[in-house]
Amino acid sequence: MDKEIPIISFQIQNEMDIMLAHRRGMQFARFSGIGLSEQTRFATAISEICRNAFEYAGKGIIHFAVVLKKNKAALLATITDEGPGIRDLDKILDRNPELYRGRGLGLVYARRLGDQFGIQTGPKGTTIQIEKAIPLKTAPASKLVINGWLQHLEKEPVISAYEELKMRNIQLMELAEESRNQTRMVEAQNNEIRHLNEQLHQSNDRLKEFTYAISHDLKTPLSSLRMASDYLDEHPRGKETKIYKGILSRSVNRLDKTVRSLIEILDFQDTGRQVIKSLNFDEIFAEARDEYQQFIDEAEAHIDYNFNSIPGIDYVESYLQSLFHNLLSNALKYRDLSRQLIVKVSTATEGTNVLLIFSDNGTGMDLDMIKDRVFAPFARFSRQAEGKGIGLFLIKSMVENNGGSVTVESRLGEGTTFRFLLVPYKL
Amino acid sequence: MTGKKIKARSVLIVDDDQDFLFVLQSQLKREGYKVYTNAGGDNLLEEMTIQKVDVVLLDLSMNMTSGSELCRQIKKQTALSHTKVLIMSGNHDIETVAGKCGADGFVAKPVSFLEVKTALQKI
Repeated sequence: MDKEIPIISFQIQNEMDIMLAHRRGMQFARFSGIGLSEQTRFATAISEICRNAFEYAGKGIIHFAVVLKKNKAALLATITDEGPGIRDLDKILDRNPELYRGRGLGLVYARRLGDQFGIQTGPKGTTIQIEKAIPLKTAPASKLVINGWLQHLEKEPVISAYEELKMRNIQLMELAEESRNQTRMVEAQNNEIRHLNEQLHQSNDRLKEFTYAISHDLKTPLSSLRMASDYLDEHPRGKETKIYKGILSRSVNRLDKTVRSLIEILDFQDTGRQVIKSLNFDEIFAEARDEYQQFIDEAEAHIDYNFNSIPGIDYVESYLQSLFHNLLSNALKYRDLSRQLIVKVSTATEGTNVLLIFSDNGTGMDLDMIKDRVFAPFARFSRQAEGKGIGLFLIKSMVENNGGSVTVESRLGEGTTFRFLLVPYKL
Repeated sequence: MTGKKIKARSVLIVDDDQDFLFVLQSQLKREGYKVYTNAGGDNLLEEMTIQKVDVVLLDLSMNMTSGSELCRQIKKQTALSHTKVLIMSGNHDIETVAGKCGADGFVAKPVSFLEVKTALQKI
């Protein structure tokens, strides 16, 4: 049940009474544990309404009270007058203070400044209630506390109207400054939101492209599967039965391969498994070479690497392993069979980042034809060797994960060069 | 349709998936279509000017080339103005893509043979 404890009531008959109402509003708010800016809002709303009562009805009366509800408490100021009432109330409340020039904005402002605002008006007078929430912990629980407040007020020195005005001016200036700070904060937050939004859009586009690529890679073998099984249903003993059965099993294998690749991609993007370490390019590249030694020997490839200018980087270990692994595997798979394979790997500084250059003299790609699909998932550009088409996609996503980038140059019959801008992680 | 047999037409299938090419080709042949294939879109325009066909069934996403780009190029050739293009794709907004590249229709993958046949009859 709501409990209302009255604090004080007095008449509003002149300018000084309006100022007193303002002052008491500030004081009761302060006693209730409300912060300065909210004290000022509450008091300003009160003085706007008292001024209306004084100007339009000649006089009025103000009651201050504390309202205790189940889980909250509030200060309540009720201003009543016996004036002619407010005509066109809705119109007045709809006034836009930024556009409306003229008198009659007090009500609009007062409504904005209180937490709750109630108004009853008619030909016999107007009652307006302004409520300001107060923290439950500091809310006065009984008349006893309020009596203490009032005793305190009795002892306060008498302040002249000028001093009072001056004080109010200072409070309003503080409030304005606070509001400016809040605007700045909101602007900064807006910028942050815009930035995040851009990132979200980019990641959305990537996701869309990714979904499209997967759906293609799933739906083509599904089409073959569907048509082959329809055929086998209709012609169980047809002369091409064997070929169709072969297609069935190949399509199933391809679907399986796509699903496995998908799992591999998801695993790779599991940030929980990313271990950041101080890595040595020589060591990680040696691991990749060891893994492919047999193929390197078979191809009689010449692998020329030099990490002297930047020997290492703080990076996700599995990322760097995967980068070398995929690049070396591609270079070996898509080498030009008519000449010796030469692979060159080196590092250089680029500001605080590391430039990793990986080039080969393999078959190369026709980038005019392939365009931006070089790094698309499940894209394959050569029939020379089997591939899942996810290596370059994975490399690009992991390098871009922390703001790095990759560019590619390639010419058919000449070879391919990848340039990675690797941004070090913080250890 | 008044029970008349559908006129056999010539169809060119463009897709870089060998199994898909095979199944679609053999089923269309069985239905009496004259079928040509092109794996991956290589030299497509040249082939089409030499061997005119009624309908091209064109896969939208091939590895080496973009189906929608090929569709645009076909539609630019006055010599090929009588050739209808049906694009095939697993893309969910295939209808929009078909409109944008000027295709005469589309078949959404995964397709059944019945769907291809119906699309060919409608065009």
